[in-house]
Amino acid sequence: MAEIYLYNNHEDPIVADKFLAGLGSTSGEFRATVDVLRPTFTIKSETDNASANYCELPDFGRYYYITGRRKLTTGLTELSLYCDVRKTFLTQLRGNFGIVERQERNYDMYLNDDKIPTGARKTVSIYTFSDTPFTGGNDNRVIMRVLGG
Amino acid sequence: MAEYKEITTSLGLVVPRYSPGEGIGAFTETANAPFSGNIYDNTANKLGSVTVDGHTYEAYHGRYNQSPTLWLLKDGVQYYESYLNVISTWSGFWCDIVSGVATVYWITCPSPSDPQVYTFPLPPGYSAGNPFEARKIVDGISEADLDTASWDKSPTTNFDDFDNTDPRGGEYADTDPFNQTDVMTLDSLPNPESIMNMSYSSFIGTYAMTATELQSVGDRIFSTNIWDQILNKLQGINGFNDCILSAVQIPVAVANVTSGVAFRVGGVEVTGSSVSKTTTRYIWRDMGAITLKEVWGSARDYTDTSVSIFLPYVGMKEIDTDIAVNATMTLRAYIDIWTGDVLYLMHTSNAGRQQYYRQEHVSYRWSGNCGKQVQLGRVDNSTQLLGVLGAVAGVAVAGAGAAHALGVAGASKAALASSEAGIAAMKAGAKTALISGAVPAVTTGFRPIVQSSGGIAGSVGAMDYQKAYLVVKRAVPQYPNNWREKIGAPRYQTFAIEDLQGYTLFSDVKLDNMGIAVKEEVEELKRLLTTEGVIL
Repeated sequence: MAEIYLYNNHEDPIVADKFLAGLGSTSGEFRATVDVLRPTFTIKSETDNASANYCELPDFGRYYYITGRRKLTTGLTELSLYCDVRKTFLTQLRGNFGIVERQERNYDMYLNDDKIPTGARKTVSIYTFSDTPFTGGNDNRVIMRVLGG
Repeated sequence: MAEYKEITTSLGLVVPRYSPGEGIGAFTETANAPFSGNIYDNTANKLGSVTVDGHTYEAYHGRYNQSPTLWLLKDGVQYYESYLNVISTWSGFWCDIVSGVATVYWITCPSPSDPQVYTFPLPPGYSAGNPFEARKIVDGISEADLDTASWDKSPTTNFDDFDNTDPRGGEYADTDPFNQTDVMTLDSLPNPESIMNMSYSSFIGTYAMTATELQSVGDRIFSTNIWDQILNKLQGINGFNDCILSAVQIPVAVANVTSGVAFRVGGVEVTGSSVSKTTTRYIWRDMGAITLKEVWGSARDYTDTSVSIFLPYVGMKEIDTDIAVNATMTLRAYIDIWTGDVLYLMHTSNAGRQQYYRQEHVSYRWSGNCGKQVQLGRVDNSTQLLGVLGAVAGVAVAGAGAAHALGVAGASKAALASSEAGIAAMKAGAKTALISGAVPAVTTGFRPIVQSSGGIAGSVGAMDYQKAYLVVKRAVPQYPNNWREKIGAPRYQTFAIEDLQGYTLFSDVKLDNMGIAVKEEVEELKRLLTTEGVIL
């Protein structure tokens, strides 16, 4: 028998350190061959909580999404699980380095951003230089160069 | 659109609201400056606190990703941070040196007319250096400085040092910092008069005639008074076209002009004339300066922006946005008054990008021509005058009954006498004949020969604007609200993942020491980090 802690998770899967609303724990058994990444777990139906969409299996040391729930005829509920690798290995992840491509707080606006579209209609601004030598009018001159002048 | 403003705070400080590249103060962290990893918990890094409207604001200094950083906590929770940028709306940090002490100013503006400033002196160890800039948030966008860290250091000469992110040029790498003192200013340009310094004054005269002066010379040379014409012919002025080298009308004010000078051509002074003369060939005029600021504070200011310039007597030309944006452009026009040639020089100084370009340089030059060739008319009256003399004699002789041409051998005195009377009579008659053209013998041979030298070139530029102007086309990016929280903003740098917060998408990540994770899980995690990202 293995313990399973049931939670309700309302955060986006992309969040690593999720805030989990605890829904208690129960025990169950693994179904046949266990895939650590995608295990199936059977619990007594009466101990199931329909609000649970997330769980922790301490025996595996992992957190899982509950991706499927099947009612078996024998008063059992089979839970299909999928490992949340972000939360499970967050501590180990923080000990590593990576080349960041996009970041919320540490960014460089002078790198091209292909995720931000631009509209077809552009703004057109005119900036006039303040002065000009071409005043014409009374300043018009005929420059005549002559021999013997 | 971001805008720049200056306000005077309740403490009497004039501070900028938005000042790209122009922070009022500066500080940088020295080797001995105190800081620690997690600065929030380290009270030794606390700069000060202030209570406003029941909320307690505390300022801390420290380091965030190798950058000097300031944080502002509100009631113990991170409120603002400023390392390369300030994230705030009408609020931010400035640093200044006040009485030798580096001081942080926190300014907040609950309403545009109610700015508040609080000061926190920095501890010893900080000195003048990298500027902090306060920028306004516009529609959820905040701006970051260009990360110049990799360019602040000289490039390595070790070409095989692949872990070194600095520019690598091998053993021939240019490791010297670029020389900021080697500037190219407009005033350092040589005076073309000195380059082309050669006096022609004894050989060639340059007249800078106004319309009135030109008219008076024309009236004198092309006088309808026949005796003036005879005088001009005798003086040789009628053939003066051969002595005119050029005549160009230019629409600019000419310098060094001496008025009241008699017009001389071919060594002959046209009596009664009064014109202007000049010894200057080149004139120049500054046409003003335009500072083209960034609008978005992003790559869009350079990649999605086009800049073109209209120049009188040249037309429209394109300008590279890398040179024009965030730069002050000064335009100067040089004009060769002999030919009407115009040379435009554009001087640029890049206030915010000095480490990439020379501080000042003449980046563009264009040429055109503002001169309009003046059509010169030459009326050859020689045939006409000979015709008059011959016609007068011939008519007189005919009038006397017997035609005796002047100069015919054997002409009698009587014929001459009658000719003289005839001449006097025909003077009036000849004039009448010339006017009416009724006497074919008089009009034949009186056809004036008009030659013109130089066509009317006509500058089409005179039909266009006479001031230069820039045309800047900018694309408008569509930033959703809180977009950086959802998709982040571009960055390409290696970070320790523990130092990151918020949405992060990795280009590549090397996962070591992953504990109990199996291969499939490590690959799954890597896939997610590089495709969907993670919020840390």
